[in-house]
Amino acid sequence: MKQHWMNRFLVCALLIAAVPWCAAESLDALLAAFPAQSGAELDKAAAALLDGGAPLLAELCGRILPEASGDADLQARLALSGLVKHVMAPGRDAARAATAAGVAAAMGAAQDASVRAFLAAQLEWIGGDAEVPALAALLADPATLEPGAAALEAIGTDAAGSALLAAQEAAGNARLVKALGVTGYTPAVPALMRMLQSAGEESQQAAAAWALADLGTEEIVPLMLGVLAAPATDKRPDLLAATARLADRLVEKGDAKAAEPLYEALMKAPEANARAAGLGGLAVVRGEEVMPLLLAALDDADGQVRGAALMMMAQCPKKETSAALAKKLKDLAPEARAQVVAALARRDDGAAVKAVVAALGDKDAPVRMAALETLGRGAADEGMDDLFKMMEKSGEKGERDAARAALMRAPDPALSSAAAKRLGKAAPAMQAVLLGMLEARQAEEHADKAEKLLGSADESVRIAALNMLSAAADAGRMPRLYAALKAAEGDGVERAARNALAKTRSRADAADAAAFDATVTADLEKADAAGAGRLMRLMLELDPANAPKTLAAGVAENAARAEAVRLEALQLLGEHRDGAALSELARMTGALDAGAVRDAALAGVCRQFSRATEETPVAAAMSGLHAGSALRTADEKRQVLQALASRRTAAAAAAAAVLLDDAEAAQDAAAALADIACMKSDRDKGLTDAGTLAVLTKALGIAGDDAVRERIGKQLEIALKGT
Amino acid sequence: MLQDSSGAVTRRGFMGRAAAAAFGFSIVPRHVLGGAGFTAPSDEVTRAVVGVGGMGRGHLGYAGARTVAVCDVDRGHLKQALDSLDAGVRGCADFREVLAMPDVDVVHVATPPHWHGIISIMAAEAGKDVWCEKPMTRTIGEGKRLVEAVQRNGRMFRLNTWFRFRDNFYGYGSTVAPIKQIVDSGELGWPLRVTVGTGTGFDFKFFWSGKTDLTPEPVPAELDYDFWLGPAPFKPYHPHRVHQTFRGYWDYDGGGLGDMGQHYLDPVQYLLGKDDTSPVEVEVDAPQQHPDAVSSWRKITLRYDDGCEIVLDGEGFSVGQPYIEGPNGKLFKNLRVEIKGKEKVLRGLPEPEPQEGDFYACVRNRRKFALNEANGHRSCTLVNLGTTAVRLGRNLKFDPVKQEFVGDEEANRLIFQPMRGPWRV
Repeated sequence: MKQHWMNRFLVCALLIAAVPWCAAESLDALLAAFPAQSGAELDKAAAALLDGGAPLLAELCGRILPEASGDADLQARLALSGLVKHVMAPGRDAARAATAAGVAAAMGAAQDASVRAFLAAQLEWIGGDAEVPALAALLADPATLEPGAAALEAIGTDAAGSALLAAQEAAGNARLVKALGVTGYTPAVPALMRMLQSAGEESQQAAAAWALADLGTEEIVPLMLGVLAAPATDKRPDLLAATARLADRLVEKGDAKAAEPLYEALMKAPEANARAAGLGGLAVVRGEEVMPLLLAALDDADGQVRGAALMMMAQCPKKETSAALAKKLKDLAPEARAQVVAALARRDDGAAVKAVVAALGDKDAPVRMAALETLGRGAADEGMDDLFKMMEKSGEKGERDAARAALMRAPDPALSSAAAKRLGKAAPAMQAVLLGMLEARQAEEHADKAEKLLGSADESVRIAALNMLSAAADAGRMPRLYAALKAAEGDGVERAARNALAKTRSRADAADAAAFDATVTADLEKADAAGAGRLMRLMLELDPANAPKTLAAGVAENAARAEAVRLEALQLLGEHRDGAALSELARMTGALDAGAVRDAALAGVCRQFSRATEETPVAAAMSGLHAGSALRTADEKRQVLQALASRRTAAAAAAAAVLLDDAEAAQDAAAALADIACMKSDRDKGLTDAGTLAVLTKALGIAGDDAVRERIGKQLEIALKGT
Repeated sequence: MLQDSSGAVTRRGFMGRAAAAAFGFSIVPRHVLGGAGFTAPSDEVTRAVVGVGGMGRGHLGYAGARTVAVCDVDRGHLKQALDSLDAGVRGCADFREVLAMPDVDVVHVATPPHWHGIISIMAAEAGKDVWCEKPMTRTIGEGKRLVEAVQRNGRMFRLNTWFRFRDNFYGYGSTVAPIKQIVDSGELGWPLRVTVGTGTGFDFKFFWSGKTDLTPEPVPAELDYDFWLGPAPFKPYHPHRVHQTFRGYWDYDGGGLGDMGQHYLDPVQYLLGKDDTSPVEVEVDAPQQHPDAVSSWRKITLRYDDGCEIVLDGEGFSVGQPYIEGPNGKLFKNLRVEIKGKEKVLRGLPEPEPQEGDFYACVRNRRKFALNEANGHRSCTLVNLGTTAVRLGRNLKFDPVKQEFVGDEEANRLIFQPMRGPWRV
């Protein structure tokens, strides 16, 4: 020890003597390169530090300040830690050794414990045997014991272990006991064994048990067995876990034979989890020979042990495992069979697949469900016939659904072919399910069969057939789909036909699509009131962006059409999802003469204002209505503002604000703005963007209603305070 | 390889094979296997939540189990949690008390990540099932130990992310299942490159950066700060270190990558079929990191031995890029597909293999949960490879079998990191 202190003194003295007066200025310039912005920059900056040699490093370490100094030493910490990262890269052994030596020297000279801790943390990354003495010195001081022990653990050599053992024997500290185990210093075994056997404090005994477990040497085994057999203490859970750890470490070192008695002892423990751990360990050390033990354990009185046995069986790579598990199935209770089936489903060998498929026919529902829920793609392929039968015939809906889900894991073309083959003979409800499967697989080679079922008497089948064709039909089937639309009875069939036509048209080439559109437009001109609605809905579905203009000009504004058809066109435009509809409605509101049709156009505008998903068309429509003086009465303005008031966007606020300057609508506009922009509860912030706050400020100056003024005032106060 | 050169079967080999068998085991509790002499207990699962300050409050609301105990080292958090629960729920400051409670089936670990490994391992050793917050562990070594403990003790484990089996994940605009169908179809070709960044719908939340000017402050009376630090090196208290902002410090987490990484990367690992392995290389482009505080990075590339790559975009270069790209095609955000000569790539694709997505059901029926200790450790390894490379500021090579850095003993010091006081894994 004396020699160590002398060495350290000499190193420090040499370093201090070597520091030139100009080092500080030079170091300041180098520190400016930190933090480096890339790995290359870091290497360059660190290399420059290394060029300064030991004196510069000493100066750098001297710049590290106590933790309480905040950011005052930021550059120094970045530079030193950056240097450490640089030198710890492979191939920089000399630089690493020199840096570690310098840091260790500085650590020895540092007065403040937190500075020593920071420097020790650097040695945790780059320290080696040469730094062990300096780190060992930290162990004597409670303020630096932790960083010292941590760095020695990280170094992990015999020298580090020796230093830890010496300190432990001098001071007796559980932290050092733990470090001895982590370090793997086997010469500590006798001392730790004495500690484990001592009648001293239980926590020390537990710490010794863990350290011995980490060390994992065979000589510990008899002692650990003896400790396990002794009367239980509060630390028994630690001792059990440490025993398992010891056995695991022995196995890792290739000494499975030494580990075996430990696992056996655990299996005899009264604690269920210890017994499970023991069984798991035996499965490891005995390999495939453990199978008889695992099979026997399935009959064990303790569920934990049975569960562990099952777990190990599922993991065991031996081919015969699946067969053994399958054979065992018949002896188990239904819920247990379900578990074994689930375990088998995770195995991908033929015997397991066969057993899982066989379980589909089990007499007990939980077993069948386990098979359905867990079988994979291979088993779905293998058991396809059984799965179809279950899907078709099971009395339980859950089982039918699970069978369908399992079938959907089967590969194509096998599944689609099998489903299509069953279509003809299936009952209507099952035809719909089978068509759904073909739809999911986009099985166009079976589209003929779906098309035939468009004539089914069952509505659900017709809908399913249309859905299947929507996924798989080509342009050649559009006339048949169009005929189905025109013949549709009921919203569901019409909607499905519309959807099928839209999707099929989207797959068609431009010429086919244009020809079809022309057919529909021509039909619309001739259609009666009932047929026109169907065709208009189709047109909006086929071409959402352009159809509104066609319907506006060709129907809504066409005085030659029956009023009922014109009103329906406006109703559809009011509900249409594309912004083009709102644009047309706003235009027509300004252009049409007063009457029922114009009223319908205005109602369409209001409907769109309250439900449109996009803001730009709303703002544009309002702007157009205002600029064209399309809103002819105070009541119309109020209707529009009330529709806008259901929105909660800055664009809606801006739209409503255009009527603040309109004398007959200003109060309604202020009220609408309050609804749009002001908070509705304590959790609601309302709108706080600058544009909205500006129009609210204007509205506050206009509003005559006290309640409106109060809402707007409160919103402005809180929003402006937030900014 | 199950056997070493002496012919002995090794646990590592056995466990590795177990993972390769696609989480192929199940454990049946006392009541499920039943049998003569047993009274089946109620199907009700009971839980204790450790850490009820932030994420843990969410755990209190998960349906399917009854909360019987809560634990926190902050008395304020503990009181707040207890006030929100039924009378009779117990509260404590030391999680070891929870582990000793015989009526607790599942321990939820919702502490900061530097505690995840320790508490989860001790819970497994105590015979509890575990529901653990992400990231699963702060180091690769802790993850290895956790896998061992869960499997050796036959416990159920779930990690608290779910996008591999449920929900649209973050900004991508789809569930994982249809993406899995496309990847499994082989239509994109192989190997694949997956890009994870704002351009493909994911945000690494760089506001989770630490501060460097932490002048010590007095520890609040309600907080047991020493216990909060636990295995982490002692650093003087500052409010930015704890509670809502701890992710910005290397001692406790790894910034936005630590927070969000496993959410984003676990589905990628599933998509690529890499649940039983890890990348062999990690490349990093990042500014130098402060020794204590986490800051941003620009790019991290994780490369598997078959050439598959996961690219993490930390500066926005992925805008307009595909989420997944292979030699034959590209898959963009919102499931938009570009495949050479193919229009209907989903045609004829079977559904993915079944996954167990109800953890409490798994606790009862002992089927392996979809995201468990084995594949969870591997996806957490993706996170920890990234954070290690960022922290060191250099590229690393990794051995996915040994789970060590190759020829880099210094980097290997970050695989297992020393723990303060009595704490260990």
